[in-house]
Amino acid sequence: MNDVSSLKNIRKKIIESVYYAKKGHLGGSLSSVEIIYYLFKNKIVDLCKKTGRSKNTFILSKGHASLALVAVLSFFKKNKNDILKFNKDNSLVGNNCSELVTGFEFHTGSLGHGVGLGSGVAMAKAISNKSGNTIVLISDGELHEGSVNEGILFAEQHKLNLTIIIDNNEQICEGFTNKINNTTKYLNFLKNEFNSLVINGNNLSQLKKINKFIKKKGLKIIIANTIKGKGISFMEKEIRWHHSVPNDMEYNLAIKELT
Amino acid sequence: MEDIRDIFFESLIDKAKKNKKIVLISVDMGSKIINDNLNHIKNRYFNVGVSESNAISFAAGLSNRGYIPFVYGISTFIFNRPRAQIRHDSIIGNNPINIIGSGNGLTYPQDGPSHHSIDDFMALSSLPNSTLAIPINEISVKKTIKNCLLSKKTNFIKLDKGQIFQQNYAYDNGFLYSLKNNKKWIITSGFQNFNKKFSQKYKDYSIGILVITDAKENERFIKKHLYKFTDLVIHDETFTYGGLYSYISTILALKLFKNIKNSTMRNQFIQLKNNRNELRKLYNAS
Repeated sequence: MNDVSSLKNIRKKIIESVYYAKKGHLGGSLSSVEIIYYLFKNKIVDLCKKTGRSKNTFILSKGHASLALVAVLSFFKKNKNDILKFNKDNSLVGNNCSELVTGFEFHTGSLGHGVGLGSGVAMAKAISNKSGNTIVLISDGELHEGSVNEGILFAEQHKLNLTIIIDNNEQICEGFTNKINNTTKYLNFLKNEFNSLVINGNNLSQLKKINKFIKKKGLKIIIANTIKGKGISFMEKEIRWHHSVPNDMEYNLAIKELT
Repeated sequence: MEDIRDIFFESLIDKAKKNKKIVLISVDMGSKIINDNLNHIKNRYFNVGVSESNAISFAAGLSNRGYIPFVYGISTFIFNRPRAQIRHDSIIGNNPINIIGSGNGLTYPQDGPSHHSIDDFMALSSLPNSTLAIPINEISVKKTIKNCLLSKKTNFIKLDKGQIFQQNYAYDNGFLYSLKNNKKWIITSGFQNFNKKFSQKYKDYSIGILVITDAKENERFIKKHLYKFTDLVIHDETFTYGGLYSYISTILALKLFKNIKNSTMRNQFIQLKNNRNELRKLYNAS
């Protein structure tokens, strides 16, 4: 299966899961698909069957996009059909997952925690002489959280082997990020003052730049410009799809676009 | 004169010299004992600057990889500002850490309410899989540090300022106590701060000082010593609602007042997804 078909397949699983569970976060999951797919396809993050961990640690700080990670892991057969359990009764798999679900190192979903947690993991690797990068995927809305700033300054100060990928889909729950609390200047500051890379996060050929970039030492920041609701024409850049559930007609339309 | 903070950090540094998993994280908070021993804890001491939230997440990340972090800051800052990080990263995420707060009750009387650690007792003693310790002498420091190293719980530690108690207290199930009269008790936490008039009025009362909160253990102490009290004074630098008075009253009410039926949630976070009614059953609150 080529990349285009694979990505459509993953998006189809995401749409199906939310449609059948009648709850879930589509927009931010769909914007992250290429980033997570790229990391796992190219074994930048490669979960060990025995420990469930990877040499390069991946932390999904934007925890409400858990469905994207679950769907990608399902596609690569890394979890036990977790995608079928999404938001089902007595399941551990849902809008936000904990460390009890394959692929999730930490319980996230309250935004602004991943950079600090990642700093701890990166420092643990450093002081115990273990190799491996620590990659944290955050959202652009997450930049509103002061703790992200605290974590970035600390990681830079200690030259931690930490990569922060910002899924810059330019939307938060209630509207466009820059209309609510503008992050443009802060993103420019990160781009200009830190070891940074700016890419189109929905473009696999641009995501290839990650390979070389994350091998650099110290803190690295990737600004991945993406589209919220990516892949379904009527969901792209539409505010309501942050956490709306498609009705029958919308579901059929979405599946048709992905088939 | 030995300060309780020095006793605590001396004991902690002593353990850290041998146990290479212990990591100390300061939120720009000094300690002479730590500063004098930095060469013994090379690469395991970090001043993260004025950033309580990052300090807690950072500690939880280290804990996740097998380290035993101790984070140190001013009580009212380190317990309140990163409340979400404590709740999510440490407690729910099961990444046990130890958080040391400088100040208990009115330790900083001149600094105003921003520094008065009088409202956090219940918040720190009610989270699942955690304890609150307020050590006041060598015995309670030893118990507290042992707890921090072995319990696999998140431990909140409040350190007062000033001379430690030399008086001989026995330790039992989280309490230091001095028995004079088994019907009359004063219960407190931390340093006593009994003034002359108070001491005179209650001179024949037994004294129980809560130094480590653990509901089951504390229940055992209360069952053993307090169930037949005729006179009980709860004297403390905490708010009436949500302080030591609430904590002791809850334990007594659960055991003694059978006409108050308890149909509330047990102290445990549940990871399973389900509807509200099912979750209520799981929490034992249906």
